[in-house]
Amino acid sequence: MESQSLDREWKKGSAELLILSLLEALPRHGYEISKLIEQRSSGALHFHAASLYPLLYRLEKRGWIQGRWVEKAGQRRRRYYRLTKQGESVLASQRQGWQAFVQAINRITGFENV
Amino acid sequence: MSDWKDPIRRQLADLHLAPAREAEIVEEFAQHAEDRYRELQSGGTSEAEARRIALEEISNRELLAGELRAVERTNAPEPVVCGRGLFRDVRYWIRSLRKSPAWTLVVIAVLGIGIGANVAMFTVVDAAFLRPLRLPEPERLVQIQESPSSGGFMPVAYPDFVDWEKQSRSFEPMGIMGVFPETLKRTGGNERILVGYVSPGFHRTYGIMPLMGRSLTAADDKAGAPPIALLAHSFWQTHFAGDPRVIGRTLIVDEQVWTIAGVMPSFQWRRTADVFAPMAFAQNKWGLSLREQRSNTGVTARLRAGVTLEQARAEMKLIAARLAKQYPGSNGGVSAVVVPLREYIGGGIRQPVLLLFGAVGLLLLVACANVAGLLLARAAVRQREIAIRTALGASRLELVRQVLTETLLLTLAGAAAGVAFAWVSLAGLQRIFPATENLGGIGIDTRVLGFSVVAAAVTALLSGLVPAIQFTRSNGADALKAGGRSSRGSAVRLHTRKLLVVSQVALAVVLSIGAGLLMRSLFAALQTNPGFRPARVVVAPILPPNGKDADLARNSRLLRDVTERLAGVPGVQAVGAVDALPFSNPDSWSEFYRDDRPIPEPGRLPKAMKAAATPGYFRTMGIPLLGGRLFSASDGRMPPLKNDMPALVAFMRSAELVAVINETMARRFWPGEDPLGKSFRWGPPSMTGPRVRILGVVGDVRQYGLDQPAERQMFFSAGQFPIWEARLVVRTTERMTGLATTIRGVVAEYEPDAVVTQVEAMQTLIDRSLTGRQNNVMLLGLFSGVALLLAALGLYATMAYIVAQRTQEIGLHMALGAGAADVRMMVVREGAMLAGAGVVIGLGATLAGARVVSSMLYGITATDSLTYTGSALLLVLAMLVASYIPAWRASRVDPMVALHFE
Repeated sequence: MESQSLDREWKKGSAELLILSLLEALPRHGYEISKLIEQRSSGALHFHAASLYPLLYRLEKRGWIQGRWVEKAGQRRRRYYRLTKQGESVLASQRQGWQAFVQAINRITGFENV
Repeated sequence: MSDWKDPIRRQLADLHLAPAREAEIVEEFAQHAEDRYRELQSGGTSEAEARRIALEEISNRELLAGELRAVERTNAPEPVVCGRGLFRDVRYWIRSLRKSPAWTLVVIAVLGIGIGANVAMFTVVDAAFLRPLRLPEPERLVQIQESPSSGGFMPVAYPDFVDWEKQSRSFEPMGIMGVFPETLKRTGGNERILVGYVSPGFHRTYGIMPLMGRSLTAADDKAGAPPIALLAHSFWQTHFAGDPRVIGRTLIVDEQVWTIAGVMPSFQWRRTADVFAPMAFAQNKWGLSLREQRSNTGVTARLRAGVTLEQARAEMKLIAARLAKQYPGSNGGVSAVVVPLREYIGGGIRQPVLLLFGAVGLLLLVACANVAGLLLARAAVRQREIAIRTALGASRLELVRQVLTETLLLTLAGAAAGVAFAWVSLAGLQRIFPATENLGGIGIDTRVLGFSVVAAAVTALLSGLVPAIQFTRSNGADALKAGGRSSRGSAVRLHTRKLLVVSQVALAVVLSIGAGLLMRSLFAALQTNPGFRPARVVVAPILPPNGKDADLARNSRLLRDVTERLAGVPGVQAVGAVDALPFSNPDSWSEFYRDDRPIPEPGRLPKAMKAAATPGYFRTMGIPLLGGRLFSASDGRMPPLKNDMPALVAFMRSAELVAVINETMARRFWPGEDPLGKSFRWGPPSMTGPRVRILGVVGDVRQYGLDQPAERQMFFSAGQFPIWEARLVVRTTERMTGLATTIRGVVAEYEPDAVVTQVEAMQTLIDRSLTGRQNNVMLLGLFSGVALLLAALGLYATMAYIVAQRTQEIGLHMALGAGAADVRMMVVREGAMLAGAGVVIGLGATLAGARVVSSMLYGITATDSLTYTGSALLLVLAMLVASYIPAWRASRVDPMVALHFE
């Protein structure tokens, strides 16, 4: 039981960190974020839309990211998320712990049970 | 694009998001699906397949709802107990109940029975003990009685009342009423009515004003005042059809013309009188001016403002002591007792009411335990569902709220069912406790509803809290993994359920022993010999005219003529008459003293029941003559005797009478002697009553009921002793139709003005005397039956639960060679242990509390071993049956299926 709840917390935390780091360079929309997570984990990590978007909303509510509707020529409008100042500092502080878990993340499988 | 939006909208429907917010989410998800769809298509997937995959990836209602709820909630924090959250809980509840209607109905029914029985009994308890009388300032009303030094109570002598009224300072005002039967002359036959002779302050004491006309004044209550009458409300309705112009009309009562001066409203208590008249009218006729005459009266008084009950008691004690000194012959040793009116009225039903209230209280406990067990069983089933919701972010508070909402709703439904149940049973209760009529009747009022809501709330807390707390303690991950089995939470739950079953069995034992004791008492009473043979005896009450000028010797002749004439009717075996028949509320105690011994102190005079009978009475009733002889014509006859008290007293002082006494009286007052030929003086020494010679001794007869002891009794000869009303008893050789008509015909032939009221079989009177006892047995039997059923259901459900939990273990046992019988034995043994523990606790609790019922028992003790053993066996048997079904099911477990269960 101990290990299970730790695992859950850790998984949740890492997903948040992943998203924050993906948005560090430039604003992205939801579908793009899900594709990037899948690609960068070589398919090991997959977020269902039903958990990805609520997670984005949660981060937005916390003020770490901000969503904005953007209309590009010839396309329907999409919601782009960008990192806020607060999000940047959260990302920075979490990154310090991140390195220690890199190895572990690479070995994570079974996230599809989320 | 719209292809995507609709399914998403449907998934969000339950969340009730703000429309703008919902539109945003829908658009974002739709865009996601569109992107995915295009990507799949460009990768070579067929259009249909791409659509299916994209749709699937955005469809997970439970996950989405759970996640979104957790996030969007923080948007605007929801109030915890009201508003949308509560609405959602209620909808959730209704949806989940639809999946298990049987379970829901059982819970509501169990609660309904428990609460309903309590509400119904509470209405009676309320009427008897709690509710103020429906009179102005009822707490100031008291009843004052006289009490001899030998204990008990007696009606108040009118002269004593007059002295009390003059001397006391504690009351304002004080009233007395004496109720006596009088003849009302009507066209087409006479009627016997009850006249309440009252003092002028009587109605004022109660705080009752006439509905119309005027009330009595001091001027009305004087000898020689024009006779007036006040009508009781019911009499006004039945005899004058509520005619508003009734004032000034007349009644012919006792050959006198009474002018109707007023109509009283229907008021509580003292419903016995049809007509009220001033006390002065009755003083001579009913001997009310004598201090020795204590019958048919009651004194009610209103405490003066600021006077306490204790002060009033102290004052009345002083006054009574003064009167005892002043009139030692009639008042020696007599004290005055002041009791609050409500206590006085409610006293008679206190014990059975409290016993039954205790019983339904226990029943409610059983119901609560049962419902708690049912809720726990449901909690087990829903553990996985709860775990998922917890994992998806539902907070503890939300879960507890939802569980409590469900419990509360169930309880409310149960309470509604209970009130309906109580409503239906009110009529029955009114029959069982007729005294509630005097207390203003019973009915479901707001306070009773309040009580039921409190009962429901207590039930909700008792039965809802345990599962609610366990829900939140349960570990989500555990539950997800193991599907709700073998986790720590369920072990605690199982333990709780076992405790609940044990307590239900214990409570059922208590109730069934109580019912058993009362039932055995009833059987004992039914088998008691009343001292006479009631079979084929018919009773006809006969009321001769009793005006002031009536000749009492004529009554005596009438009884002789009528009995002789009826004895000649074919089919009639024996005929007699008596003025105080057993089982028809004979209350005719009178004082006497042996004239060959020193006269006892006043207040210590021996008392015995008095009756006047014809010799045929004993033969007809089958009362054996044990020694001496019965009355005969040679004993002498009554001279012509005017129907008023001074004439009667004069007659009594000069008469020489004969009597037959019963065995108890002979043993008690002539111990070791032969009473035959001995004599005693009847009435208190101050009256110098007649000398009475004992002719014979007859067998004892139970006067008040089969379950009441035989009292000492003396019988005067109906030929010598004045009789105002009598009961003819007729024994026939076979069932006779038309006997009542024959009796009426014969009576009318000799005395056209005599009234013969309802003719009944003697057995009917005996049966009626046991009605209260039968009702108690029936009610307690019903309660204990329901408790037994509930306990059995509780055990059954628990054993079924245990078996379900242990499917694997049982499968393993069977795979390792255990036979079906072994498995059945294992389960039954476990059930028997629970039942056994409950039975032992129940037996112990009953033994400890047995005193409570002991005074209601007859013919057995409160620790009657047969009843205890019988109840224990019954319970054990029911419990074995209840656990055998799950046991049988367990023995049919297929080991292979059980082991592959995971």
